[in-house]
Amino acid sequence: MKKTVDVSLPIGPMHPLFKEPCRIKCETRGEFVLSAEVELGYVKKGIERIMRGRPWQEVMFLAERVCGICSVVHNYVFIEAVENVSGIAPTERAAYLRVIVNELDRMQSHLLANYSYCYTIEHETLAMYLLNLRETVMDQLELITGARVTCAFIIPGGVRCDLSADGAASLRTALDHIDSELSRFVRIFETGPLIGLRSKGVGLLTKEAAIEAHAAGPTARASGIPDDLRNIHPTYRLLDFKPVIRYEGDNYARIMVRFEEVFQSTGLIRTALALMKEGPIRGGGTIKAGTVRYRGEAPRGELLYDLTTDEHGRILEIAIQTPSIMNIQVCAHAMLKNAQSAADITAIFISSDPCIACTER
Amino acid sequence: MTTYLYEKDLRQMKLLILESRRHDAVVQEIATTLGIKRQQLRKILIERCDMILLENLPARCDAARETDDLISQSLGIPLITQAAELLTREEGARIRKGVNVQIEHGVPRETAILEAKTEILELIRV
Repeated sequence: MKKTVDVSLPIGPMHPLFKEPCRIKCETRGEFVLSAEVELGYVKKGIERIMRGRPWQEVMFLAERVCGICSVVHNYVFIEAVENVSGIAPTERAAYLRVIVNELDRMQSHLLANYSYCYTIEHETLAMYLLNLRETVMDQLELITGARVTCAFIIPGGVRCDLSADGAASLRTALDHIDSELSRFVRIFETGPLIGLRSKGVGLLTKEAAIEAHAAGPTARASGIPDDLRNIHPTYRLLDFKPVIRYEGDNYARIMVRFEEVFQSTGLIRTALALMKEGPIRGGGTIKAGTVRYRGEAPRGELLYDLTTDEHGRILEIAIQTPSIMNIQVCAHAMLKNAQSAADITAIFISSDPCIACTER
Repeated sequence: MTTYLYEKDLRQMKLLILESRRHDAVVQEIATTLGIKRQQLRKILIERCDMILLENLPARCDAARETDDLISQSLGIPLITQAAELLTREEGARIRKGVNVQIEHGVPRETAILEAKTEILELIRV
């Protein structure tokens, strides 16, 4: 980019409001933001290169270490990609268990994202309420999978462990608690005058800019794009899934889409629990040679695994495209551009739920 | 953008992004369309784009490919204007219109496209 004005405002790489390091370089005229660019490379893992040449059993564990927040979906999409190559299908009960764990993961990711936003706009009370509620979800995730973050729950042909009747009862109680508590928190968010001032009409993203940058997930759905890959997933179709869409395209819409998706996730889990019948949770299967480009819906949007396997089940080539790449790019080049106040930069950035760990995979 | 003495030289890291499998495929595609070497296009992209735009290049190309205009496709205009942002949309539309005018005046289609490609290269070269 060419320099156009004298005032350059660097934010990061270390910033109190950023969970992970990255540098946003803004050009401003007074308070008005003219342009922004993002500098990465502070936490590059090179995980794709580490994965190359290793057997799928090792890559499975590496895949969920791409992201520390939405690790379940990386496990989910990677395993579905290798299943796709090998013609393996999960058992019926395992397919529902996968959805349950994936939706719990989405709930905790959305609650964490909205916590970060509330903390950024200095509504710490609501932020802490949300973080506390996230613990309820994390407890359920731990109860089902045995771990909070790197669960390695999903395996080819099924899942690692079953959900007992007691576990299902505990999950139902937790979902009721989440629904009632979150309704209260959403009311606080909707009616808070400070929140409205910092969120409504701020960080606007038009539908055209979102399509151009291939924006994904709640960031795209808050700008009126109805794309959600759960629409075409066979198990989600059985659950009568409909994506949550808003049309305002501002910070407020992005946060509200995430809140609405948490309610939607509790509904999907309840339906999955109701439809799930007793049966085996592991179907087995052998990974075969092939190439696949497989997409799944992560909490932040479209997650793509492009991989090639050999007949021994080794991953010969792999490329991972995470949704944060698209969302951070559209945030820097469309939402931050022409922002009315430099004080809104961090709020706009956090509203797009940026994950640097995913971006620097 | 302002460059401070203490800021890092990002060229090496940008090159690493462009060397990955999916990026290499789109860089090759754009370079072939424009009739230049991959290395030349990499240099242009490194100079003109920031790191996050380079990271998002394959996804943006996927979004930009959805055009049914054959002349725009053969010039790679959606990839250059919409995906890589090397030219503005107005410049892209002007070049596309210029090809149409030339074809209407009896210039062979291939010649008109070749001339338009030369113009694009003149505009995007750093």
